[in-house]
Amino acid sequence: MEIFANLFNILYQFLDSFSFLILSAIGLAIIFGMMRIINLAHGEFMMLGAYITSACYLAGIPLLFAIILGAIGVGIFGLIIDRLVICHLYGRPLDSVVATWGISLIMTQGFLILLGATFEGPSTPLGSFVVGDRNYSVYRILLVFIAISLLIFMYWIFMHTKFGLKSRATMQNNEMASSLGTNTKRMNTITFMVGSMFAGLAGGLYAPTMAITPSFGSAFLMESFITVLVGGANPLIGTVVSGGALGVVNSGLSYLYGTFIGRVGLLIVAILFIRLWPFGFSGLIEKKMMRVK
Amino acid sequence: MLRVQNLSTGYGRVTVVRDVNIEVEKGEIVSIIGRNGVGKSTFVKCIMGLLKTFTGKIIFHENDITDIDSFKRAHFGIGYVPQGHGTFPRLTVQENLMMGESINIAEKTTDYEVIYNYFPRLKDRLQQKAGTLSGGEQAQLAIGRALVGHPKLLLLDEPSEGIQPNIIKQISDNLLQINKDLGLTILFVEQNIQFIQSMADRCYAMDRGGIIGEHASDELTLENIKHYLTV
Ligand SMILES: Nc1ncnc2c1ncn2[C@@H]1O[C@H](COP(=O)(O)OP(=O)(O)OP(=O)(O)O)[C@@H](O)[C@H]1O
Ligand SMILES: [Mg+2]
Repeated sequence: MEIFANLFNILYQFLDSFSFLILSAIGLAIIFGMMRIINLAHGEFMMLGAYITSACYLAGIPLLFAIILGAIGVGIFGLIIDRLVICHLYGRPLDSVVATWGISLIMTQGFLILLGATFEGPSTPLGSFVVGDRNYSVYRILLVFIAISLLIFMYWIFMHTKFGLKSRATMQNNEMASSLGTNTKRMNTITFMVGSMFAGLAGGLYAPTMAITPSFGSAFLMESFITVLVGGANPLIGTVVSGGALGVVNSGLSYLYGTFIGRVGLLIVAILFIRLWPFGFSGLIEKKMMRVK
Repeated sequence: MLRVQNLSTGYGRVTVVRDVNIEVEKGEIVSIIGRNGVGKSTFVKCIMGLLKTFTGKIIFHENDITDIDSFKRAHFGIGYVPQGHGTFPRLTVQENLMMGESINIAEKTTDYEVIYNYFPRLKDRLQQKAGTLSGGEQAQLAIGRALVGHPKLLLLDEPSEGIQPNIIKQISDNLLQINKDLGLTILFVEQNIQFIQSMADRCYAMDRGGIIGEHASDELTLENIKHYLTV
């Protein structure tokens, strides 16, 4: 029984870490992979999702719908930001870093000024259960299933829809996709909107588990960027594999030496990847796949 | 069908192609020849809308397309096979072909059998990643993919580059057949003498970004062509 409880604890920690990495990275990965734009305001987009979700929840809307509204709201916000700022920066990665950094500062400070240092969020639903002598949150288990479902959903979008085909083609050869009749500017706008929606969704999903503050996004910042960095440009393969691998590192080290060492482990993996495989897991895997046949 | 008037274009602020005038009639096969680096690809990219027109006009089917986006030119009926074939390496052959369906009229009316008829090798390799195809197969895929969109004018940029002679022959035969079957107008850039002689009804010679000669097919002797291709 002791062993079972321990194993369960390890598994829970891994899955919790895995879903946290996946959910915090997915929107960032889509925007980076498809558009080569590094959205430094990604954490603030998540923060916005959490605020919208909380506000809707306070207004009496059930949590599930409040979360969905958070995702839609941030999607629309992303659309506006793309039209106003990002669309002028396609193909200029450095400029887009500066611009999105500016957006993130404006958002954090803006929320601080307008809504103060804290905001009332929903409490964690669904209660908890006991294994061995520990308490586990049902909601966090649910997040694992949601993370996996979102990955499957994303796989379906990118591998089995016309939009997905066009966006993969645009990613590989923008000029050629355009010469074949694809409006690549619109593809980019839609991609940015979809990536923003995923960020908003993740923010809404984590809103019941954390304090809602203007710096909400900073809790995800390191994990999301490291997951994308280690995953590489392909948002499908990259996010899954790097979420899995980093989840093992993070949960293993956290279990043995505490959460601080767990996060240090993530940083070390990131540094190793920058030195050894700068194109991340998806770079490695795609190279392998091209060699077969 | 295509009229280019006093066209200048280039990269950034650097003008590469100057004051070019050409005309292509419906059903014609016209070639642009010239040495390396004289601006042939630059010119074709500009017709496709991938480079901005600095001065001059591009008229296609009586429409002024000088300032419209490249994806709209594709919808108007211009197909493009770039130098190096431009296949999507990490998409399968089938997905590459399906990208040709992005053009309105192709969505419902694509009969892939017609394309496999010209290029049977593609059919055997539908699930293979395009990046793993041989050069000859990539050229066929790129041409087939352009045909999916039912173009009226096909722009080809050195389709024979890096391909062995017997496959070149096969590709040029196929293109001639397609031209005859579908009435497809073709404007192609080439340096391969056999390819030029077997395909072109007419030819423009380019040097240093300008057109320096125009010849009908009966004037396309070995000497004439070599004169333009050698330094
Ligand atoms: N992306 C670019 N940016 C700046 N200059 C370029 C670019 N591409 C080509 N050029 C320059 O434009 C000129 C014409 O190049 P272009 O590719 O059109 O030649 P080409 O006739 O197609 O040659 P080739 O037979 O080798 O394909 C060259 O001097 C080249 O250096
Ligand atoms: Mg060229």
